[in-house]
Amino acid sequence: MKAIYVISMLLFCYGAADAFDDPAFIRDGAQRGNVYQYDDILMNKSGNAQLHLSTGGDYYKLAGTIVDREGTPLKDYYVIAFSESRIRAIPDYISAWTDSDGRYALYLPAGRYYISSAAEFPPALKNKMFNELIIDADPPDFNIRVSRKVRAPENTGSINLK
Amino acid sequence: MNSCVLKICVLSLLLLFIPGAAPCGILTTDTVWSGDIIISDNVTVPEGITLTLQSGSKVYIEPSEMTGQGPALPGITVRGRIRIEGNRSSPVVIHVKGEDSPGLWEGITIEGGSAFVRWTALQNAVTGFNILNGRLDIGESVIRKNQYGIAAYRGAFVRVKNTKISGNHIGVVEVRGSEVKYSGVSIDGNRKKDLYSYGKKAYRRGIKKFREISSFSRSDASCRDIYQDLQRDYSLPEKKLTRIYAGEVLGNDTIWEGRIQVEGLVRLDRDARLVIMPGTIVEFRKEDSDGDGTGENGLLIHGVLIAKGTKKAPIIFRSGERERSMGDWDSIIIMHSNGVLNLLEYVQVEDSYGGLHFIDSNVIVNQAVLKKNYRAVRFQKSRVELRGNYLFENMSGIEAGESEVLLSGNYVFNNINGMDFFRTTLNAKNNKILKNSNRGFRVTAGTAVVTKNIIECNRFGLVIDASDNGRFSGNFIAGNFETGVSVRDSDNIDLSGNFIQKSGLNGINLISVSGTVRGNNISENGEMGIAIRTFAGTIAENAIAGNGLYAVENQGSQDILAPLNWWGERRADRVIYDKFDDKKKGMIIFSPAVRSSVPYPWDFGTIKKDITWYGTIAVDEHLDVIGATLKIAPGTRVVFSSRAGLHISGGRIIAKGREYRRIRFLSASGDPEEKWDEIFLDRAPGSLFAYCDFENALWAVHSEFTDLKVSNSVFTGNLGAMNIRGGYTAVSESIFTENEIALQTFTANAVIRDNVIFNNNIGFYVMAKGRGLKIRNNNIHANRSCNIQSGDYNFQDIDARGNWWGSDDPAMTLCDGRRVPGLGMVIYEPYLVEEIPFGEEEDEAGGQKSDRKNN
Repeated sequence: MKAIYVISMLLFCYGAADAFDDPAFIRDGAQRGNVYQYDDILMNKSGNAQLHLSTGGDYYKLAGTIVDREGTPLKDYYVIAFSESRIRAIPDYISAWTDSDGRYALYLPAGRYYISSAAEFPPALKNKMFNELIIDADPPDFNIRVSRKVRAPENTGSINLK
Repeated sequence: MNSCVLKICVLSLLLLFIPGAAPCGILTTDTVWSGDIIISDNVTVPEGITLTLQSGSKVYIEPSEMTGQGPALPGITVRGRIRIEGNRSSPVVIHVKGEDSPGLWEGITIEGGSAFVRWTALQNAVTGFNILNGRLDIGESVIRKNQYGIAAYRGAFVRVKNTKISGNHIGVVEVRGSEVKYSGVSIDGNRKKDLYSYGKKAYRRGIKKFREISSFSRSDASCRDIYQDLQRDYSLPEKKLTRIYAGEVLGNDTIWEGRIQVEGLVRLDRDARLVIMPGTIVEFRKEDSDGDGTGENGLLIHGVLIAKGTKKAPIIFRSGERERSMGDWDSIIIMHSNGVLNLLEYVQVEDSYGGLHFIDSNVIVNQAVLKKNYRAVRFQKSRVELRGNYLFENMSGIEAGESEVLLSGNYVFNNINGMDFFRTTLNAKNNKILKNSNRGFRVTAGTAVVTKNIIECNRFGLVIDASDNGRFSGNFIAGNFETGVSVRDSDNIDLSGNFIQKSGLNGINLISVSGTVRGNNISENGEMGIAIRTFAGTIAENAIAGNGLYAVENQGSQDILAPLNWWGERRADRVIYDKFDDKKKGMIIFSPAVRSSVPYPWDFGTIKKDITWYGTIAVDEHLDVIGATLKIAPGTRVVFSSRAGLHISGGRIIAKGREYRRIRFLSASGDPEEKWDEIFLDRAPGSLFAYCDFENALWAVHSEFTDLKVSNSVFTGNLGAMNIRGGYTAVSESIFTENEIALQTFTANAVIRDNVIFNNNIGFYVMAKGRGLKIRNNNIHANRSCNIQSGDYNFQDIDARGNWWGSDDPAMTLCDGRRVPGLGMVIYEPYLVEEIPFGEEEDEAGGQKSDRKNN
């Protein structure tokens, strides 16, 4: 599958974000009791589900290592991705906190993304730099380099596509 | 599909008169069974409910069906009460009709409830009565043809009277912390054992028929106090209630923070996302509309869940009741969310029935605490990564089916069952699975790579069932009180490089297995190192030593290849049970055997519990032994990489070789330029080296404030052989040669007697306070610089009377106050005029060295 990556360094200057203004849409009528039914799954609380499931195959795995300027993997960081240049307080896609190996993974549908990293949650987005990526296949490892001072990422610039 | 999976069946009194009714699920009212009953699924008797089986009842168990999480055997779980009221003329019978085999159903499991049983025959179960915690009062009954008749765990109170327990694999298992009393009981004719007690002495009074030879007790001393410091608990300051959710649907992206109370089932729509902020407390009120004893409230996520706590601000999911208890709420279910990652990080989940439950989802659980849930984590058809989590005091830790799982750095301990993986592609590394009452780690019908895990002090350590092409290597599997590793019906299994020690019964069981068993270190297991029913493949390059009965037992009729193994101190044919012992068995073809084992790389880090090394152990870096006893068996070689060493702190080392089975401490390369570091005894009282050889170290033995005995040992080619500071040290009958410094002391309280110290650069270097030294009856000679050198800061005289110095003028061989005024003097007179003839033939009277002359 053809894949095109456009990597550029973008700098978003993002003002103070209100992370807590998303209204919850609440609807009555959720199922109660201990038998849940959803689509083709039936399950009881003491047992198991009988499944006929989709594969999640429309998602691509973006993975790599978050490193500092010396290339040392960073612990307790994570990667964020926005699917459009309009930045919201809570990123669209969020990886897990990294271990000492600095490895991260994100699962993304095909599209254009703005990628960065953070060391606090919710992330401080002001002055954060982003990499722009277009993904339509499983990409090779994408390492993110962080300047500890401003915690802004730089990509390694070494992604070669098939 | 089993209808019991589709609905919760409630057996009411109305069903009593329907022959062949199939009760299943969770009973919600007091229930009475009589007549013929068929059970095809698990029946749970919850707290507060009583199930009564009237006299004459016949309970037929139907074979189980496969589910997404593996074969679910039918059984009866009792958290309330069960009364089985047979009588002499109308007993109760519970069995699989027409079957003689054991293990066809789970049996009756008591989880905090109680059982009263009279005039009952129970058979074909895995465990007839499995008392995890609770009471069993059984009388006038027969328990037979089960794998285990009765198993009583910590917290079990069992009274057995006038009952026959026979024809099971093992009659009764008693675990420390259980109390079992017998009266007029016959425990006899069980295939493997009648009575197996672990960590306790079985109370045998009241057993009228009992084959003593079949009893077996094992100590759990090595498991008792380990890993006390594992418990992790997140906490947050109390918060004001932010919002209450009833049974609701969240259709849009939603953010939770503060303290949320859930009073129903909250469902998140497919296209929505729920973000739970760090520091949030989510409390679930208990709602038990069906009266089954467990709550129903919870979260059902069809969209995406981001619960991203932090180290400082975790997220807590717990009961909202004033007095919280296990099962107050149901679970967090993530369903059909298999695209974007769901995250549960730095969360704590407690008091639930189902904990975290993922179905067809993509989830990472990272640094979570899951405690006091019936089931902590389970998932089916999901892609799940579990990292650095703590799962403890749950009924089950992890249950997974048909999933892709990455498992690293998790602690799964003090649960009933640790981890079960069914038809799962599993990669498990660096996990600790400890002290789970029943199974530690089970892989069924899956493909697994299981490396560098610690599986310790469970009932069954690692269980591999019907799994092909798995690799299980480099794991530390010790102190599991039945079996270390059980492999059954599996092909192409690679079981290599594992350290398997101190299992209660067998180290490894192989039943219908093909593959390779290579490079394992298998020792001090209660009965067999490896017990084999049928195995196709090779058992090679293992060190198998010090096991209770045999190194390898061939229980089948096929011959088995087992070349190039190291069999320890005894001859291979003496530790192998095969055709030569029983003509019906196949042979173990053990030739050629090896004289020293393949180096076993010690890759488990700090030693914090008592263990014994056998064979050849390779130490690649500094290895700490903290608060534990490291024993080294006779004939063992410890090979150190350059600059590697041991640091014994607060524990001790006991290296007790024999005259012809010496223990050797060597450098791995053998290159004199690549010296290993030292064995540093740092307040390690009671340490001992006997019949040991030390070569090519920077300081072979460095002892500080340690009571230490060294005897019959040889130190050669070390930069320094022994460095002693403080503590009481006795060095005797040892040889020090070709070292730069043989012995160095600093404020030592040491007795050096009957040694040969020669051809070193310096024999003794007394740095300071030489008064604590007593050097007697040694040959100290031909040391190039000095036989004894008094250090620049030693102003005290050194007591070295009665030694042979290899010179008519010993003073010439001493570098002391005679050469540098002010330094301490060596008091060498009177001295021996002839060399003490160490190493000559011992006399018949018992090893006294002859021809010794004292001045």
